[in-house]
Amino acid sequence: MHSIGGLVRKDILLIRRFIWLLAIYAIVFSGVVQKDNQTLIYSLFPGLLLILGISSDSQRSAQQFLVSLPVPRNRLVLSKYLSSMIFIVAAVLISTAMNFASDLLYGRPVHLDLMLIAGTFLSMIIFLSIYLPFFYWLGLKGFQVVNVVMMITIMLANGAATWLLTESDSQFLQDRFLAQPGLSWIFLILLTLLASVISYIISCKAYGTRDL
Amino acid sequence: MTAIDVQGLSKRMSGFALEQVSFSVPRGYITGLIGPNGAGKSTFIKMLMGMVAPDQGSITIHGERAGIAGAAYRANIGYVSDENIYYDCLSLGQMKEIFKSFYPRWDEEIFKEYLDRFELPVKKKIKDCSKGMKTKFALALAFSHHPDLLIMDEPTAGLDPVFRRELLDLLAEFIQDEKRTVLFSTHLTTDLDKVADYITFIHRGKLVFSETKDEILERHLIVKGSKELLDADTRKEFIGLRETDFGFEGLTADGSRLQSIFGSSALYHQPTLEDIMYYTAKGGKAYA
Repeated sequence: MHSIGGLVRKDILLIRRFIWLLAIYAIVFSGVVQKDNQTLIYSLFPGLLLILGISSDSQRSAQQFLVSLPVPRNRLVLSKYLSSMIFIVAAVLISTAMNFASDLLYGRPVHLDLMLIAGTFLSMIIFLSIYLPFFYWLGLKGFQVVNVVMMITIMLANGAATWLLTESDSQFLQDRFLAQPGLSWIFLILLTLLASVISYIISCKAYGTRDL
Repeated sequence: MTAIDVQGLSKRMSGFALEQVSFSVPRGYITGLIGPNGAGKSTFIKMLMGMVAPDQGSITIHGERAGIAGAAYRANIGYVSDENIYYDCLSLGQMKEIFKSFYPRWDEEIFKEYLDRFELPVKKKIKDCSKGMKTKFALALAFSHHPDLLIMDEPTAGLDPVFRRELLDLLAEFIQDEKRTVLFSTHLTTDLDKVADYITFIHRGKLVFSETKDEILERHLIVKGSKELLDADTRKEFIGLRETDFGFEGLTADGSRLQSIFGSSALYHQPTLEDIMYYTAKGGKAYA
């Protein structure tokens, strides 16, 4: 487990070079600039942080370094999932803090939208569960394409989610969800966990035999 | 005792195939891995380090199965790649902090000694370092966790002659206790002339030989003579032959036999490793 700590530390160290870019994104997409759309940061910022964090190991040289370490490949994969989870949590916390700041700035009542935070967290884990298997399966050649697709997905996700929530056909699902919120959340969490586990297994299989 | 044992190793990749390579790297000595570009040296080293999986065969390092499936064996290996594999955006000091956490036998004092010896500035970013500095840094990392085995892929490429000599001295120091082993691939056979005990030669994916350097140099012979000495039978005695209008020069793997055939009609001298590699790569083709 000591090696996983070292790998997670490595990912955190590598993301630090993007600190100014992330700060700009956090400000631009938060309620500080987007006065009428405080939810935008929740869809864009965690996705950006995740993609930057994972991309730091996309080069062949980085993969060769990692594989040359006395660490089994499945542990390399596990560490990537763990550091990605840390980035998601950090991004959601930063997004929340930025919106708090915007509420204070504009004299609005400070509010905490737990549904939005939890929804962002779970949706980012689902996003991660799709993204990482592609990262390990396609390698460097396909990864650049996957990155572009994922960035576009993130940018469109906010609009899609808003449309979904206002679409009358989805009202039925929303009503069922709100009727039993506790059970619904448990179901969503279990579904997310299942997706993560399946994703991890696929990633290990893809990476476990890859020639570098 | 062997440090590395290779049995029936095969790997097919696009435009290249390593075929049924079997040999051992003895413990306590320096083994040089030579071969022309594309021979399979780097692919073989990557298989040792678990970066590439062989299609067939096995590799054992210090008794442990090596390859993609294993990992613990790499804790005792100091690895120097032919290209920089460390994160360019980090400084030497930051990269060291990441690296050392994976090696229980990491020795900070030794690392500092090598930093001073190689004159490496710890705060300099890796991307701002020259190729030589990057290699020196890789060497410092490799030496600093007390490995039992040093595996290096073209470590002297890009190094100035002064440091190359220093590196060869370091390698000779490294194996002084006769328990530690060095395997390094190189094109610069003059380096192996100085320090190698064993030579393994791979050509077009096949093993040509794996023996002590002294045996190789004693067994092989460069023969020079007039064209009249060559016929269908004597040509077969040569690994590689170079013919001109005035005569020939060739390499044989059985010097004593050719000396008994040609006697004093030909001139003989001991080849260098470079001669052996050159004539083997050229093969039996006659050329000027």
